[in-house]
Amino acid sequence: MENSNHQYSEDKKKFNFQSFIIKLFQKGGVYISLIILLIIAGILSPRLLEPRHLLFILRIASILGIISIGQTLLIISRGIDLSVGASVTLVVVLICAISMGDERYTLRVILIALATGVLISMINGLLVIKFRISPLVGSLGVMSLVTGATYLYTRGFARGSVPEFISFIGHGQIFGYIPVSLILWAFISIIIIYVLKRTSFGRYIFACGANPKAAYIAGINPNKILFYVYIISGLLTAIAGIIWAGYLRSQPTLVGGEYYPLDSLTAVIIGGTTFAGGKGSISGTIIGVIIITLLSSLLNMLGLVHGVKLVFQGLIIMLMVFAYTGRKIIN
Amino acid sequence: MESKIKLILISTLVLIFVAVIPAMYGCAPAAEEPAAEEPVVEEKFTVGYDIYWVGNAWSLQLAEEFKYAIQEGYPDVVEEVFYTSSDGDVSRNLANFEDLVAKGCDIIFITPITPDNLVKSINDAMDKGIKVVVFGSAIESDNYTAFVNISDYEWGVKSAEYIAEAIDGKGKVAMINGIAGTGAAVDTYEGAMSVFEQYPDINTLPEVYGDWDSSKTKIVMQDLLAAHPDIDGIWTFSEPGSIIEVYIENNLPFVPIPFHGENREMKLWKQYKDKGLESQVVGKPSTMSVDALHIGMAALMGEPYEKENMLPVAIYTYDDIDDLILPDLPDRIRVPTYLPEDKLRELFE
Amino acid sequence: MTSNSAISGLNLKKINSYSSVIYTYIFLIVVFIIFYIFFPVYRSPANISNLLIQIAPLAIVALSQAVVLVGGGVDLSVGAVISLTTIIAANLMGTSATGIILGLVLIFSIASLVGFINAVICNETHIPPLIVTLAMSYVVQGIVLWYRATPGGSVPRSLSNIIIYRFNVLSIPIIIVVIIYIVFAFIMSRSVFGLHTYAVGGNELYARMAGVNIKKIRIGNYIISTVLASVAGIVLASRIGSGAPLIGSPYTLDSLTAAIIGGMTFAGGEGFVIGALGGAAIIGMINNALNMSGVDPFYQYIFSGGLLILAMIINSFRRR
Repeated sequence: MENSNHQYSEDKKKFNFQSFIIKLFQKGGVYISLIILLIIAGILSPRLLEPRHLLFILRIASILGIISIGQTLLIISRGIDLSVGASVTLVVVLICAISMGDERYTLRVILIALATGVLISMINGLLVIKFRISPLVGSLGVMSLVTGATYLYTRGFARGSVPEFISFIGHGQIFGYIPVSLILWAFISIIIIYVLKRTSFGRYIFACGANPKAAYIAGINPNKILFYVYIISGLLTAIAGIIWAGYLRSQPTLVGGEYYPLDSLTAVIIGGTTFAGGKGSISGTIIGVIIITLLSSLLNMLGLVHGVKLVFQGLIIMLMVFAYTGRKIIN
Repeated sequence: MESKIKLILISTLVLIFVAVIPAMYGCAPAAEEPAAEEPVVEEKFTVGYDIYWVGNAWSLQLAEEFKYAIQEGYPDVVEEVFYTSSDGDVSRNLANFEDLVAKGCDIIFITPITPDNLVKSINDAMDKGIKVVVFGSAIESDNYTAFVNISDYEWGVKSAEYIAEAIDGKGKVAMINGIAGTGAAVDTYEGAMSVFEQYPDINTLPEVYGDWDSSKTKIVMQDLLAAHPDIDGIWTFSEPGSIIEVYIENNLPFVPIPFHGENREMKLWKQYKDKGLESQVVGKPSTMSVDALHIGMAALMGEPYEKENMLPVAIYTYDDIDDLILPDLPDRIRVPTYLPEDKLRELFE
Repeated sequence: MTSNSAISGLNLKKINSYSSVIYTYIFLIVVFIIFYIFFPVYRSPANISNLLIQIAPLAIVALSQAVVLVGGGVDLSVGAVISLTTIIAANLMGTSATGIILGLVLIFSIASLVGFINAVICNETHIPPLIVTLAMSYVVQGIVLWYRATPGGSVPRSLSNIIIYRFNVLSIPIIIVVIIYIVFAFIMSRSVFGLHTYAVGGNELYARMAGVNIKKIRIGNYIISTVLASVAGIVLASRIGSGAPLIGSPYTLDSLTAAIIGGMTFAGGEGFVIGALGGAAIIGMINNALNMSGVDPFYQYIFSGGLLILAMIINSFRRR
């Protein structure tokens, strides 16, 4: 996992301090940023850190969090998926429209949700694997297609509501205050981290991402691995959709998902995974998601004029990513 | 060799675009394009309507009210209705309008997404004799057949007046608006601030945007509550129903908030009135398009009509609730509505 | 001296990808003929004239994107730059001739600055261009909304009247489009800058070994992109006569779609920028035809996605 095939020749003696800082950030950068953010939040807007609000943030973050886990896997495999926003929206729409809040449909809509997520991911996978289309562009096309399909299906209005169980997933608490969605997020993260670190499948994912040709020679089938990754990502997106549907309870929105793809990308990058592929960190992504959600909440609470808020978001994104990727040092 | 191929390719393409296409159309100036015919002579009319957005229930209902009304009300005089969709895109709005003109519509109903973007094209259309009815949003011109809207500025004023009075002229007021950068959002805000500024003891919080989206509004409200647990009143142009839900979810006492006239709000109102939910409906009806329709058709058929129709902002209090509420019908309907029950169910259930 | 053989060796790739442009244009002509036959309204000079003007801004921004894509990058800030341009044109431009010229200078300077910053950040850090230009779009859009949250202002009449002047089926915007495309088609294929851009996009390492100044090329690419975007913004501002802070947003994705349909790829180093014109024309024509044919507006959303995927699949076959 130390495989860095993206570096230009460096004069190690000259830039030692800089590379030290960069290495420091790369190892624990996310955590440092989170701490810095918490400190700043504590100074500027202490109410952000109130447990009740933090739990709210974590509840919302779990949706982005699960999506971002899928995104991390994809980026490790040199893929990307910009259609997650559209997918998750469609899942929510379907859950509401098909179940109409009726209990008896609970299992059915969950299955439909999972199937939808997987189906959309498989289309993405098909475009990338079979037609060798760039994952970025392919997912863009799928995004437009899925958005269009959603509009067509709903005719502009997303109707219905969610059954009790799903609402519990989105809203419920265990032991009085721990959100169910948070537990779900933690559970999924642990499973994925385990798979990545301890199973051969996980190793294959890294290998194929790092160097598909070498992996092929070593006997791994990169196409198959990538396909599985897409399927996992689709499942995760669907689960995120179920949680979101539970949170909204009814009146799903057609446009609410538009920031998910970009936010998940940012979270992944802040978390330390690079686009080069072959290495990545789920835990980093998780912290990245928390940072993004916290940041958004902080900016909201600071009551900045909308324009200023956007400017800050842009600057902070760049700053954060810069901290992890460092300066380009070229001879 | 390859440079020659390249040259030929480029010249062919340039030729096609610059010479061949105009040649196909002859050198006749565009002015010879036949103008729309006199409506009095024509038996049937072609109608154009641009759906400016379907991002929320209000805008969707606006279009659907129109569709239903024109189907039921004018089956004999309308030849065909063309619908285009702008989806909030300013250039698309303009392109759609031009396309409807080129399509030969006798009358076009249009909601301008910004006050200026259609002025030129509407002027050209009016010169050609096409009737243009502007509705639903402000326009920086008075060259049109008819105009139907409520004043967003006045909406802001009336809703702010209610809040100011309900909190006895002092306290913290949250300001929640629609999508940043749209004319309606700015106008309502200015109207509201013109009222709040007159009360020195009212402290308005910085504006936040709910984007007319229930999910976003909920998140924004939650964040606001976290920062300011002591809000005394809420001025909102976006999804008051969602805001009430946030309060319910957090088990907080209600504060005064203006309703917009959604069935969901009415139901909540009825349910929580005794628990302290105070409100007043400051209406922006989605039946505006139907009013525009009737005025436009009157103009087409040579009947008398009013050109300027700045509808008053309708105010309803709790006493009116029984006239407004549709208890068995879906939540997202904007009341009052002209649509029949089965259509409402079909659309919103 | 640079090693010319390394660069001329890359020409082979270009020859192979001629077909992308050809397919795009064949598709375009076929679609046009179909519409021409089946939709009488389509034939009217008024409609064609409208169509051409409607396509013009997209065509210009598609060229922006195409140049950057060939250089191996991507520019998501174009939409925000367009919005910024319309706001400047409507609010900071004087009405006299000098006022207009000063306003144009201001617009181009600010656009160049944005592009320059984009390029510098890409050059000096490892942040992927996707993120850089995305973050920049937030910043620019934020500034636009901060300065003027409402649509309004007014573009000086003298400028807008010139820009949207129509004659016959043509109009100034289309002339601008044609001129720009001819100029850049030559720049990209004949000039050192163009060839170096292909080199950088194709394989940055080899390009560097061949002595190409990557940083300068990148700066050039991104400045061209934002400046062209501002030209599109000027055309749009003249069309609507005022500023609109959100007008540019749809153009970001559409310009990318148009460029990809036109044969550009994310990998960079291949495709001909002139294909982007075809891509923009296809998108514009389909939108126009959907309106003209009275197809249920809800079907329109599916079309652009399906179109992009179709174009990509076709492109992928051609690449084998």
